[in-house]
Amino acid sequence: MNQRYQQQRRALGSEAVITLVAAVGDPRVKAIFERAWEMVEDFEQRFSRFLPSSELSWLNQSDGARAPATPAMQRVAQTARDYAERSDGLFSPLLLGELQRAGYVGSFGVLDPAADIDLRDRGVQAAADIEIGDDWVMIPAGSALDFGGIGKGYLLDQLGDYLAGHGVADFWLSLGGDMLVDGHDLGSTDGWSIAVADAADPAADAARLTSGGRHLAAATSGTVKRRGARPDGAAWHHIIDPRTGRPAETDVLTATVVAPSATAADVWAKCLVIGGSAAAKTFAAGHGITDAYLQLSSKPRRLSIGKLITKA
Amino acid sequence: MYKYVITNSELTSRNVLALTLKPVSRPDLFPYKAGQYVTIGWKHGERPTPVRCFSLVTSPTQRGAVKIAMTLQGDFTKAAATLAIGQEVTLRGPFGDFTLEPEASGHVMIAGGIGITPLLSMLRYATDRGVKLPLTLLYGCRSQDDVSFLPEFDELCRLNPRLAVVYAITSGPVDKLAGRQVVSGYIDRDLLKKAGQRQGPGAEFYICGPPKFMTAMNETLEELGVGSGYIHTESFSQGKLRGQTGLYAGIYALTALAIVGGVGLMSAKQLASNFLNSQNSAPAVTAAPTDGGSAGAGVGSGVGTGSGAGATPSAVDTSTPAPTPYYQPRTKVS
Repeated sequence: MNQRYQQQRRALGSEAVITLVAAVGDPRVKAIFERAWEMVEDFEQRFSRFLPSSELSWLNQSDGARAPATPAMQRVAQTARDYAERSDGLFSPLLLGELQRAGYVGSFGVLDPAADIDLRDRGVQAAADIEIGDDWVMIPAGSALDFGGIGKGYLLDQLGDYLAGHGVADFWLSLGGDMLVDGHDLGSTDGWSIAVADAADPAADAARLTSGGRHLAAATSGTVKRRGARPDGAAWHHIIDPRTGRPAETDVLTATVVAPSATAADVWAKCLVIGGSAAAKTFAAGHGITDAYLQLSSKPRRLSIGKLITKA
Repeated sequence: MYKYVITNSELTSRNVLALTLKPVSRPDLFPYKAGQYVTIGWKHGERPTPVRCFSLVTSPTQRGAVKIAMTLQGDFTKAAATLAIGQEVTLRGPFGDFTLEPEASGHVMIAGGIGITPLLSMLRYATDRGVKLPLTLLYGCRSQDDVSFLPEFDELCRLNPRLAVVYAITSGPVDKLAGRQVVSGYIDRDLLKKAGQRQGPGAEFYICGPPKFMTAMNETLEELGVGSGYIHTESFSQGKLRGQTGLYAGIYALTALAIVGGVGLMSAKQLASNFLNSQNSAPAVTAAPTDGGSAGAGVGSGVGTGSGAGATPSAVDTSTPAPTPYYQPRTKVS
């Protein structure tokens, strides 16, 4: 007889949830949770830009020079560069300076904003200029790296691989609302039922999808959450358009993407927001996105791609 | 006094000898704190040799053996280099209060040459104990061939993502340190400043090395505004042991002076308590069944500690007891 096991914590400046289905009293569960949380914590310690002690912070202090890098850093940097090259210019991991200039200087989570390193002097550089060697990474001089647009997805994929590799067939994971699921919920033959938050009312559901037992990820990106006003009164949000270096001017309030990997879902959701609704279907077709759901600031208010995500 | 035997003797750099020592019998295992030192001597024929003080390189978390290290200069250390495996030696101690400050928000360790030994012990201890604080080691050496314990530091960096090790090499090539954080030159003001910034306010600074090195580091830190209460130093210097008579009279020893600014002695119990507290402050990882079953609710981490339960029920087998509360799979805007 199986049961659900679930744990929740604050991590990566937001909420993290691990849920898995396993036999009642399964002795492996405790160790699996422990290791999974260790992975989350290690990732945060290594890749957070809000922690001056993180490897990412050290790398950003070494712009223009080969900085010794761990294999983990090399893999994430490589993944980010690859996605940047495939994104038609809509995704870049080198926007941190612009992001801070736009007004996003503190963490929105529990981390101390004072710990954020001021990198507002850094500019936008081509992600293709990130160099990765055998044991080093070099970011272009005057740039700063940030995995805020890809990190949660990447970590979710790592966690999913870990669970699958340890015989956990049925689980769902959430990092700040980015989701990765596999297998089935307890007693279900349809997999997992996933709700999509409403752009206007975060407590309400705008849409829903059912995983059907497949390994899939869903991520929602948007301009409605992390936004504010700068001291000069100008409005800002945290989705930066690499093409302009400024908060994206877009009619997409939120974009939810379903993809085989959380990394892809995370990145492509941002690209759909930045690209706007007019370009969404073309971008989706060109990047293998079969299912997406966009909530728009103007009529028709929503745009569906594929049939998996349905209005709630 | 404890009787130990040498189980390994090796060069950890071109002129640093490390001796691994195991107790002759289990009762001779002695408790110590990371960063402390011992005296060592042995019998040459029937006559006892002089004794010298050396920091323990190992951590109390490493059971069964201790290790000391010494720069090969002078008759004593050269004699130590000739000792055979199995040679019995006598240890006294542990001594010193150059140990980890329990109330720190981070630790910056600054080593010059053989001054690395107590700091390696502290870093090993912090890593093995899972201390959740940023750690920075600035390790100054004349050349890359003078860097000791390189494999140990590589291992610690792999085990501890909070640890950053920076090698400051005064002269010569640094190719053997490829893949690590290396600066050519002395540990200077800029490097100390960066290390301090990495740790944030409230960090403790530990300095160990030759007297001139210690003075320079101490002065620079004070110029940077680090309060003396946050600076801990251990000076390796040659001095005459005071008040010793008999066998030890007139023997010159390497004396470790602990000049600990504003920090009192910390008992092993206090230290352990601090680290236990730091670990207990982290959320527990007990697996919590969502049906509130016998596996126990996670203390501070499992279900029931937040307010993010989904607004709609998921497609679950309704015969399962309703979880209270259960976080529903739901994407959120990020």
